[in-house]
Amino acid sequence: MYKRAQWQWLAAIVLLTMACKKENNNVTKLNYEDGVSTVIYDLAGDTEASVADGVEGKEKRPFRSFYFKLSTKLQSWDSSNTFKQSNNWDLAFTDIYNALVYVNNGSGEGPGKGGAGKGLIIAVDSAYSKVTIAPEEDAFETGNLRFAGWDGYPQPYNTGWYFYSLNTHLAVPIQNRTFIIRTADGKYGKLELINVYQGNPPTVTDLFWPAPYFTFRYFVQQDGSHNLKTP
Amino acid sequence: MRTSKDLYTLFILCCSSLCAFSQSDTSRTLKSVEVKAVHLETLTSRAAMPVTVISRKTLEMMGSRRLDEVMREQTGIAIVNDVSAGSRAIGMQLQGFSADYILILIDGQPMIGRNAGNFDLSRITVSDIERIEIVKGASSSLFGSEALGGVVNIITRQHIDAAQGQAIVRYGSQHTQDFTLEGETPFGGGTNKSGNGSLNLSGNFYHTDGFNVNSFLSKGATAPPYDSYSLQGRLRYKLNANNSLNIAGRWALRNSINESVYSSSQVTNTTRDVLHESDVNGAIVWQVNLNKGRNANPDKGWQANLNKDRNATPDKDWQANLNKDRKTNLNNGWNANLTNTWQLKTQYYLTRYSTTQDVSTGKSAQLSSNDFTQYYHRFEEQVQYVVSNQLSFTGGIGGNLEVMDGNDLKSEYAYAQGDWKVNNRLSSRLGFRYDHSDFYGGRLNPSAGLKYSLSEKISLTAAFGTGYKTPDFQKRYQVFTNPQAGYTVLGVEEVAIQLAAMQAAGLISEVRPVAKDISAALKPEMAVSYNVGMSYTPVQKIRIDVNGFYNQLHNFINTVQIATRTNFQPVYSYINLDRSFTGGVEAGVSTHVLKGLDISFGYQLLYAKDRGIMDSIRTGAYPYNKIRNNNTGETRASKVSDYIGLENRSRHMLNLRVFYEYAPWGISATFRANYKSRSGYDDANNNRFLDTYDTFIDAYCLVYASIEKKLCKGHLAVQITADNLMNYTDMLMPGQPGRILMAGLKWRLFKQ
Repeated sequence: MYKRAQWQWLAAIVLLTMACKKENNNVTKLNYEDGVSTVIYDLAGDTEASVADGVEGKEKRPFRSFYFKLSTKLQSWDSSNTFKQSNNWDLAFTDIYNALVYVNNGSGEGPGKGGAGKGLIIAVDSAYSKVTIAPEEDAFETGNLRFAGWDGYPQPYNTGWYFYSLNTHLAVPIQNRTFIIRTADGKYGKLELINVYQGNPPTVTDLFWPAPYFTFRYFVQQDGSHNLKTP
Repeated sequence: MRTSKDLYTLFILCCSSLCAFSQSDTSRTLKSVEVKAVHLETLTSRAAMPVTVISRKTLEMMGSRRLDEVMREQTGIAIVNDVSAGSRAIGMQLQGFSADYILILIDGQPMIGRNAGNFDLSRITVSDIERIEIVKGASSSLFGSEALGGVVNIITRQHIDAAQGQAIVRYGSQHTQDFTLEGETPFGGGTNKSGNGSLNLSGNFYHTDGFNVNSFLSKGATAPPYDSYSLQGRLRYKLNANNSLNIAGRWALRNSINESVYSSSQVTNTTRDVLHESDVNGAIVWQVNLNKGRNANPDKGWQANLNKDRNATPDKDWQANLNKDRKTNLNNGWNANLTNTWQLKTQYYLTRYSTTQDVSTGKSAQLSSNDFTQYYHRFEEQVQYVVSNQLSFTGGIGGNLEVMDGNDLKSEYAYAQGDWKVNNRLSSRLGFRYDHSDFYGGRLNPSAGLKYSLSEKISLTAAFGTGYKTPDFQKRYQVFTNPQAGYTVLGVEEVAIQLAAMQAAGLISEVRPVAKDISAALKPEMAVSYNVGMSYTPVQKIRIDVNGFYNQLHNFINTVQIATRTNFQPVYSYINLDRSFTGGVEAGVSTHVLKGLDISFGYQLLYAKDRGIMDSIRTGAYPYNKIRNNNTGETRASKVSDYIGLENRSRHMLNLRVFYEYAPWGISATFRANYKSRSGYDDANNNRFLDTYDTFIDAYCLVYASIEKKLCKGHLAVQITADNLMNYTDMLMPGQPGRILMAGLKWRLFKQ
């Protein structure tokens, strides 16, 4: 009797160990390359600024904005009015963690104010590849967000691309939210802001994970049409 | 799918094992004879709530090195990372209560030194622990503030009846090293066989390289590496027939340097995290017995606990133990008359905790620093009065002084407890504790427990207790701006001044109406716990325990946004807001089917929710009013049923333990499996509550095994242990190491 019980247990333990076998724990790295879109990995923002009071050894100052030209993939730190009012940039990464992203628009409030930029931005809650067409002029103008930053902040209607988790105190990008934009020159495109943390981790597990390093992808329709189809 | 498969497997295992038992025909008793040490500050003799006990024997067989390793295998306990407080913040969760609410005691005295409320149990070596007691549920009636959700009591080596020494060397994965030297001896001769005094000294060194589960790190560890040194000593001396003195001291030091390198594309970033912490505990206890009859040796009876409960089943038998104790006493013939005895205990306890922790980047920029030194003094006078075999009382008064970075907090307390055995079937326990602090005033916490034996086989228990926790220094005086996220947190007493100063400096763009409600008189958090249980022994070798528990938390302190800075960042403070609850069922089956074979099975079902969130969903308050399907991008209105519960809590936890000892060959082995169902990691769709579209830690199962062979008449032992045998890791559980294999040698010196 004992023996039998023992064998049963041995078998049970082996079975259980098998049931508890290691799951595939590799972090799946998504492929953002679709052949036509441009993907930017780990574009460094102002990594030396601090917002903290009384933190020794760290420069306490506002984050310096940087500017990005979509067609040339050029990053510029030139914050002169001449530059800001030019069409040499399409996106301005401003404010805390450079995560408040403006389009270059000369007529509204924003870094491009007073310039010739025709930039517009609206949000679509859909996967990047499923956004295939830019809306007509009127709809675009009415829905214009001017910038995309912290979702629902400062007002609930401020649609953004990430939010701060009050639980982990980390920035969490919002999945499957795509922005339709108009560049400074008036061309239509789409933009997905993917991450602010280095290496684009699926989930951030370290309070001191290096930031801001931007991962984003975009497609600009060069023929001037509203067609935004990508594979 | 995985979840149900694992559950099913365990279910089958459980059934098949029960079948196996019913076929066997032994008539051995499940429990060994047990004697209770009346004079020790054990929770078993104080708590109304069920007490789980882990014995030295269990610890030895498991081959665990640090306290966190032992605790993470217990039913209803989880060791979880607090990501918001950095990579070193790791704490123990019990019945769904987070680490802030669990009091850690060493020989009945509180241990201090927390990181944002988290007590890192890996600070403590297992090497000199005699046994561990765990009380789940509100226990402030025993220990005052902080024991709101439960208590863990670590009891160090107590019983010394022969001179012996022990050396342990362990080495394994991640360069883990564990060295222990321990010696103890009775002295002072006298009439007592084992001497009037006893001395125990032990030292331990531990090193680990840590463990990395983050594939984005090219160097560094998510479970940080460290070196730990600890020394512990205990002196007991019986001055005369009625007076004895007990002096205990512990010193522990930990150094840790963790350099993390994040590499991707062309970017390399280094974060250097340096920690030094030290920990001192000292206690002097003077015990006076005022009874007419011969005195019981206070140490007697500890041996019995060694055999007991290697499966750490809930030890609900406080009253039963007492009965057994008396019975044994009578049988042994000493101290036959325990009635009308008085005992006085005078004790002074001091603990000091000091830490410096600095996190900096490779560019020598400091990200955070957390330096403080904390002192805690306690003086207590305790009286025990045993009226008769049916009735006994314990009472005491004491005072605490806590000093931290120039802030003093004084508090006083008094408690009383009565144990009344009404008849052979019914016994009861009633306790009160009154705490008074200069700042928060007085607070009374009652607890009550009842046990009723329906028959020889079935007994029922019911317990009730309350708990409270006063807001800590941080919540009152903190002025902090997070360098990563950029928000500011103000302690309630700083709000008025700091907010005005920030406004004057033009840093504030908006002050919210709630700022006016921030009261400097932040109320203590309160808990009420209920526990109802049944213990069933269908045959002598099988015991089934089922416990239902419900803990209600009031005045839960939460952060609330009171203003917005001109840079869009929020300013937070604290407010008594939400009411949470945790409730569920804990079940255990323990069997002793063959000689040397103990098999047990534990399960916890847990619901832990925040009623504040449920109300917000019900009333449609932003941002709780919506739920976004992150897979499609669609958003709809939320329902209360969308709310899953508090983060980091598994609904189902299961464990199976098999402990086997074959005495003739000196071989013992253990096999343990722990399963946890999925638990929430973080919000992913910006509605501030956990729903199905958020980020979850997958369900998982960890397997542990150990085998030991004794040689040279028990003087030498060789042990091999495997923790997390299947090497399961998850990036979302940074503090859970993968497979650790260890080999150990134990050398014991004793007289045959």
